Parts: sequence; C-alpha cells; structure tokens
Amino acid sequence: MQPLRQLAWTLPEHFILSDFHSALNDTFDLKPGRTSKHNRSWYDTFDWRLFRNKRLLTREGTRWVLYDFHGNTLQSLSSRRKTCRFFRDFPDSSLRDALRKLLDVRALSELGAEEVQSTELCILNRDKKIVAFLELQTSINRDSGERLHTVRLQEVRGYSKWFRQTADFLQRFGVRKQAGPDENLRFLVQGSGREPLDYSSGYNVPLEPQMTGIEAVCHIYRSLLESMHRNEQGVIEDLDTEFLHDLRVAVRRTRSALALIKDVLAPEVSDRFKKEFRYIGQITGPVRDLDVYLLSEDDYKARLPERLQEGLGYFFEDLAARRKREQRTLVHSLHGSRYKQILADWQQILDLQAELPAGKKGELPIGVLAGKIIHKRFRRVLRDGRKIHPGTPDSELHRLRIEGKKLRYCLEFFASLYDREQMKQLIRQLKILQNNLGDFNDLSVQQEMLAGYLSQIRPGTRKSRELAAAIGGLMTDLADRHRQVRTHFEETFANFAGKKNLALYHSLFG
Amino acid sequence: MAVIAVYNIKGGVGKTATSVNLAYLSACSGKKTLLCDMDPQGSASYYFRIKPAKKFTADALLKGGKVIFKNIRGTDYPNLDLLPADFTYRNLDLALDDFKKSTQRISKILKPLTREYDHIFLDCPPNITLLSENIFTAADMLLIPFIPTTLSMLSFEKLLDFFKRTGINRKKLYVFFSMVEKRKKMHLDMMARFAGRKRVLRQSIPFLADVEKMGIYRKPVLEITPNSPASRAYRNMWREVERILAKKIP
Repeated sequence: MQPLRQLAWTLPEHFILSDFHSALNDTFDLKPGRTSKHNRSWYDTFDWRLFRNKRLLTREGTRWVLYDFHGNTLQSLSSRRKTCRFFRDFPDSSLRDALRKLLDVRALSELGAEEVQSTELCILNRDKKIVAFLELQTSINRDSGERLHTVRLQEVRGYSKWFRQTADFLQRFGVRKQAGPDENLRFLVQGSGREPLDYSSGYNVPLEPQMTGIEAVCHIYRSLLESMHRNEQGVIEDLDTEFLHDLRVAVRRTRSALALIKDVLAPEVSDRFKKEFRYIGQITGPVRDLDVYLLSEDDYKARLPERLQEGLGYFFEDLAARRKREQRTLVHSLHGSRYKQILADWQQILDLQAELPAGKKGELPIGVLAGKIIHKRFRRVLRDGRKIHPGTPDSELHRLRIEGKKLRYCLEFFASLYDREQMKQLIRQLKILQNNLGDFNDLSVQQEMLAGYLSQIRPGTRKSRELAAAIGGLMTDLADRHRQVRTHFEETFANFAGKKNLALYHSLFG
Repeated sequence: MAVIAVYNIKGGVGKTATSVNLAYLSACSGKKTLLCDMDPQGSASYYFRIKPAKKFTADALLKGGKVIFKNIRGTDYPNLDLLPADFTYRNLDLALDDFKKSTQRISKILKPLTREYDHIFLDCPPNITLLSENIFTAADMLLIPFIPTTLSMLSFEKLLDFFKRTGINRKKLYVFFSMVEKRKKMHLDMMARFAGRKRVLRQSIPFLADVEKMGIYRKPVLEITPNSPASRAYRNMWREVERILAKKIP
C-alpha cells in the first residue's frame, strides 16, 4: 500500500493568518479541526548524535518523542522523571533501546524550546467528507520570541486529487520552499550560538600542500584550542564524561604536534607550551582515569560470578566517591589562574599569525614537511615493533604503543594532503595494531591499579572480605585476558608490517 | 492481525452500527483498522460519507489485488480506512460461484490486506449464501447481534446447524444482544436464559435513539455523543472483544 503523502511549507514572514484563512475559504469548503497550544523542547547530545543519524527528539511535558527526518514518530513514551539525561534515565522501552544505540555514553541537553500553536483545517468535498487535512502551526521561540509559521498538508487515502489541488493552491499563495523536518530545530537554536553539526569529536582540519609549515600548524593549533574551549563548560558542569575526554584529546594532539612537527615553531615557544599543555594533561588525568573504570562497570560485573558482584559494587561506590573529590579539584584547577593563563597566552601567540616566531623550517611548504615527518614516525614504529619477541618485557610494548599513537596523530594531521582512500586505509591498518596495544596497556594499568587497591583494603569486616574477593576475581580475569591479548600481538604486528602496507607508506611518504 | 465479521441472517438487527462503532474504537486504540462494507445497501459507507468509484464493482472486488488497495478510502478519523460497497455487490453470490474453491475467495482477497491492518472488520449483508460461507471461513471472529426474541432464537439455531453441516469452526461464533428494550419482559426473559453461557458477550447494546442519530449526523455514535449510554455500551463491548481476540490470536 502506498504510504500517505505529507508536505510541509514555511509561510512567508509577513503572513497573516486571517488572510490565509479567507483565501482558503474562497476556494474550499472548510471545517475547523482541533486546535492546540503546548510547549515543546528539543534535545540532542553536544556532538549531535541524534541529528547525525537523522533523528529528532522532543519533549512535551513528560512525553518524549523520537522522530525521523520525515516527521514520522519512531518511538514515544511518557516518563515520570522530567529530566532524562542519559539513555538509562528513561524507563524500559523501545525508546530507551533506540537511545542506547544512538547516545551511548553521551548526555542529552536541551537545544531550545518553543510554544507551538496549531490549528487544524479539514477540507471537505460535496458530501462533507474530509478529503485533506491542513495543519497551520506557529512556533514561538522561547528565547528570542521569534515566530515561524509552517503549514502541513496531509493526504487522506483515496483522495489524491484533492491533495494535489490543495498543494497547488498553497504554492500559488506564496508559501516558501518545503520546510525540511529539521527546519524547526534550526529555527530554535538560532540565537543560541549553535547550529546543527557544529561540533564533532573527530579531527578535521584541511590543509593545502603549498601552505608554509607555520601556516599549517597555526590552523591545527587553532582548531584544537577551539575544541578545548568548547568542551570546557561541559567539563565544569560535569554533563557527561566525553567533554573531558574530548578536551584531553585536544590537549594531547596539541602536545604531539608541538613535539612531532619540529622546527616549525620557534623552539622557545614549542618548549614552553609542551610543558604548559603537559600541566593541563596532568590536572585532567585523575578524573578521566576514574571515568574509564566507571564506564566499564557493567562489563566488569558481567565478568564475575553473581556471588562476587556485590563486593564489586562496593569497589565502584568507592571509585564514584573518589571521582567526586577529583572532579572538585579539577573544576578548581580549571578556574585557576595557571590554566586560564596558558590558554590565553596560547591564543595570543596563534593570533600573531604571520609574525608567529618561526623555527628554521617554518617557511617550508607543509607538503614537503609532512611526508618526512610521517615516514620518520613509521620507521620508528617498524624498528621498535620488529624488536619485540615473546620474551620482551611489557614496558617495550608500552613504548611501541606510544610510538604508534604518534604515527596515528601525524597521519591525521596531514591526511588532507594525500589521497583520502589511501590515508583511510593506513589509519585503519594502524588502528588494528593500536587496539591490540591499547588493550594490552589498559589491562596492565588496571591490574596494577587493582593490586594497589587491594593492598589498601583494611581487613576485618564482611564488607572488606567481599570486596577483596571481588577484586581478586577480577584480577584473575584481567590477567587471563592480558595473556590472550599478548599472544595476538605478533600476528597483528606482522599484518601491519606486511609488504602491502610497507609499499604504500614508501610510495606516499618515502 | 484479526478479521472480525459482524453477521446475522436477519436484517435490521444493528450489524452496521456495531461494525462502524467497534471499528472506530479499534482505530482509536491506535490499531490500523479497515472496515469492509460488504452489504450492497452500503450503509457503513454512507455513515462515513464515502462513495465507491464508478469502476469499483463486485467483479473488481473478486478480482482482488491492486484494485482493492486503489479503492480503499481514508475516513475522517485517524487509523480508520474503509472499503466502500457498491450496489453490484447484490450479485456477489453469482459471481463467486464462477471461482474455483469458491468458499475461500474472500480469504484470498483479504490476504494482502492483513499485512497492512491490525484489524479488519467485515460488515456483512443479511442472508445465508455462498458469500456468507466465504466470510465465515475468512473471519477469526464472528460477532452476531441478536435481538432477544423467539424469531431471532430460531435463526441462531439455523446458523449453528449450518456451521455443523459445513464443518466451519463453531468456536469463532460470539453472540450478543442488540436493540435491547429493558421494558419488554420477553427481552429480559430471553436474555436471562442465555446469561452466563459460553460465547455470549456480557455486554449488550440497548435500543436507543442515539444509535439512530448516526443516520442523521453520518458519524459513529461515539463521535456524536461520546458519553451516552450507547457509547458506553460499545466501549465496554470493544474491551470484551479485545480480551477475546488477545486469547485467540496471541
């Protein structure tokens, strides 16, 4: 069966409802339908996870509705809780399942709110039968007070001729282009300084090969600094874990660029800011470390038999309490003068642009510099990786992981200078190696942390017994996985250092 | 998915009012609902102000397929569509006879519709013919409005007999009292005899002017006077039917 058609238009700004009404009345036999007035808020994550997946989420009172971009309701539910930030705050439902996939660990925040006044008009035929529905909607932006008028035309099955006639009439009346389903959202965020897809946690700073080194790094640093600024408030308000994560990634990328793209900035500048950004890395570290554990609570629990799970509960309660303390310290540091000074000074330097104190390679084109830098990093990864054999101490693998990360950042910084598909392929290949090394590292760090934690448990109570048993169980599981990941390393590295991959690196950067 | 046929061998017992109001309630509960007007008088179509297209005839109906979809009309209410009846339906029996497996033709025609709708209501013409037999086969539930009089009783027994002879599952049958006049002793006596029996709905529909207003306003009674006793009776009945359907079609 053919789905029913629905069309929507935006009405001209000077639009007067009564004029429109009387014009309609002259042409059609009309019957007034329902009228309604309600408040509606729109939601998405900071990085537009819903919008990116062509989804829109609204709340009217306690009723939440998830739409697709055609305006169809996908899921809806009424929740007694008025504030639902994470998917897990929603009651068990298909909406919650959908949001779990879409939002993952990110929180929802309100993008804007509107008062919606809607009037339905039914178009009748000679038998007084409804043959098409018109809905006139006025949305009033709660913040700006601005108005957006839309008209929606809904087909009634079996009366397509009327649908066409009404659509023709509306177009003659001067309705503006078809209002996209996301038009309402764009209208609501107007004035809030935001617009759809204005933030993504991915890295994307396009460079041109003929740019000088100094111009290119300036682009990179400015975009990374902007990312730090944009995530700052979310970190302070502790909206979700990803603000801090993204801020730290921007800091780490900046530090890597300062270290890896050598002699482009004057050494006194890069040396100073390497230290400065290390400081920011340090003050943001403890909360993130705890976040990583807290985010994997469910995964940890699933690895233990039910009998030990309660003990693990105590462990996570303890971590959550520690995180609370660390978060306070972090907010204090972010409000502190050193942090503010670092970012302000860095901004000032980047604003100098052409007069930026250059190093000896600052004037060389980035197209020339990039290949050399990437090739060097690649050779380093190969050299270190080839030295590893089954008896190598863990610390060597950790070193290799750091080298891999440096290569990864360089590939990302300069990806726009090369063929997109080939770069994608290289990054994908490197990611497989890094996942192995990253898992290996995480498991080492976690085991150490648990061992440290275990040694601090004061014995004697039932609670501490259960806690110790749970930690012990977890350590066994981690050690087991640690061994497994280690045995996969050789194969993973052999793939990375395979002929095809080598040839690609040499042809692109050699 | 469920096919619910409202049928009685006799005319004027409230079949169309029942089909229209129950289909309306089904749609209100959010179920995609289709009401097929099978009666050449086209009363259900009239209530919804829908006329069939000129080309839509008994032959077109029996051909089935795309032509059915093309002739479905949206009513004025969300989730509720109607397949209007044409006067040529009076010859449906003759036309049906030309088909092989002539008792299953209607089931076959309804098949593609079952993918689109949650509930399909059939408002049947009064008689007992090849078309009726088709409908008995196609339906998951047969609702039989029944005025509590001796004559109705007789026709009901005839129907049971017919089911026995043709081997159609009698468990599909559900009876309810329609056009009940509380001041008539005979009605009350007759109802008392049936009370508590299996497959007799507890809810009955009183004889009320409200129901007759449907012809004037051309709307379901639930739209005209949503709080009237008639509306309440239909609402209760629909709840009862829903419960039965939930057990039949899990």
